[in-house]
Amino acid sequence: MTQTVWSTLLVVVVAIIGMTAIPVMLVVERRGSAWMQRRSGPNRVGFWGLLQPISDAIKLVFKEANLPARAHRFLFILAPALAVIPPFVALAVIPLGGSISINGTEFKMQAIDLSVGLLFFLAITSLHVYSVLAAGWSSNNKFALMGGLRSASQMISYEIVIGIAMVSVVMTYGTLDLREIVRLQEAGAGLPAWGFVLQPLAFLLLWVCSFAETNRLPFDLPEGESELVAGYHTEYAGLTFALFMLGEYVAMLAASAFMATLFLGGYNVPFVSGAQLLSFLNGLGLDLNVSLLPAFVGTTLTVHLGSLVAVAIQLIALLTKTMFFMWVFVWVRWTLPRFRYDQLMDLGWKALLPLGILNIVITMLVTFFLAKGF
Amino acid sequence: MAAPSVFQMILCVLALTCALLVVLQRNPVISAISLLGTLFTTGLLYFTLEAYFVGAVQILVYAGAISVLFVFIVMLLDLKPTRVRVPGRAPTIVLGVTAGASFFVLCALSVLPVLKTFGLLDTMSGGLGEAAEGPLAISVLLLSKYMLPFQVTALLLLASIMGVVVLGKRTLPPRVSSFEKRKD
Repeated sequence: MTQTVWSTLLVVVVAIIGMTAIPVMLVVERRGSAWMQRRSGPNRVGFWGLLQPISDAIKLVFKEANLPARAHRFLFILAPALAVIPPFVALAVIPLGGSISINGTEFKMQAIDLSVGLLFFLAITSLHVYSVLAAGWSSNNKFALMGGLRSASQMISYEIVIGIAMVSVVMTYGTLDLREIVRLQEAGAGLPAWGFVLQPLAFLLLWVCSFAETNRLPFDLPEGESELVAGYHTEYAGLTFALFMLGEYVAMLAASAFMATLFLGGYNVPFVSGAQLLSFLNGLGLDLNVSLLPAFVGTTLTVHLGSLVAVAIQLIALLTKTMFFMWVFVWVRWTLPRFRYDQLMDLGWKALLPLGILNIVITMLVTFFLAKGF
Repeated sequence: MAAPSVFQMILCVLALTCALLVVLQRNPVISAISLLGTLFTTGLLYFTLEAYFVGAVQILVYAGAISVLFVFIVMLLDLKPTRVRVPGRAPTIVLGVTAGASFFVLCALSVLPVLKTFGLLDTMSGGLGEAAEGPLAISVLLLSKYMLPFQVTALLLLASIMGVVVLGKRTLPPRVSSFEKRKD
């Protein structure tokens, strides 16, 4: 088992997590919104409406994906792909757990282990805006174009706020490595050493901005149906439209996992450090190596059972935190009305940006005096 | 430095193709998006050279922010595809190529001594060297060895921002009217 094979395997795992989250979120969103509005919601397909996403997908597959007259063919087809790929790539830098011991070697549960993971995440998610712009322009439709332009200015404005908020986070942790950031939030360094205690303002800023970055309500002006029909994806139907929806949900998942990693301790189980968890599991009698392949295959593949269960628990911890943020995305969508466009810009530039800069100044002073020891 | 891998060569070809498309495409929106392609593939090239910080910043700043503005402005102005008249006569083409080539040589001649004085040529031939080490090494270098270029760049950017403000305000008449009032 080489590192390359392991990374490839983890990339597949990340893709599966991303793809599985979409039907789950579809059910949560449709049933959740119905619950909040005292409706029944879709409850006919399968038990409790659980098969609704499959029925939706089948419907979308059999719909015709049309190409509008005088549309730019290449960009029109490229745009949905651009909506899906960046969130998946961004998801790959999130650390999913500690490390598994296979054949005596430790393998980290992170598909792409980058020393600048935080910057990489921001860089890749910033490419998401091109799908909206390309879709809006290539559709040869005024509503679509206006949706695309709205989205571009909105996402650029809020990206700046995210960048500013991240500066103070990086100053607190002193590293750009997401894995290191999670390790610093481990229990043991004083109770909950999680990011939202250390950087409450940055947490709030990132949380608000992630709604704007994923074009969700109350910031979904690019697709404000009362003004722009459906905004940038007016001309899309069938599977190309499904790809935009898919991209939106994966972007939500990536943003949620990013917030969980930075501010809710990532894969850490609350109040328990990774070493404590592993020694507890080893104490339960899981401290043994299990061979996964039968003897006649030739190569050996032994996995340390304790580390495997520990990683599984940590993955569940991370997914639980991520699902919390995902639920808030749904909750807010069905609670708050849409902003007016000038209110959106005012909030970004006149409220959030000054708060971010203030946070940097405060963090700078605190870090300086802590380093000097008052 | 090791020989370039297949992946690096593919990226180089992609970057150059996109760079050519920026100039050769008639449609300004496609040109702007090709520019994005060039900047993005250059960022990926930095990643293959193990300069992760530079690569991430390249994608974040250039591909993620600056070229969004380009695409945004071009779309907002709704420019129509331009029809460039191709010069038919041979002398025009010869003169054009000569002018272009000599401009390139002049640029190279003026830039090379600067690169030599700051020792940047050695860094280039030996891979990305110190720059590949990460954010800490880069910030130390920026605030010590390359302090002067860093500050000069900052000043240039400030000047260009002021220039943009002046150009943007040119159509507004308040200054002119008060001046004329005084003349009366």
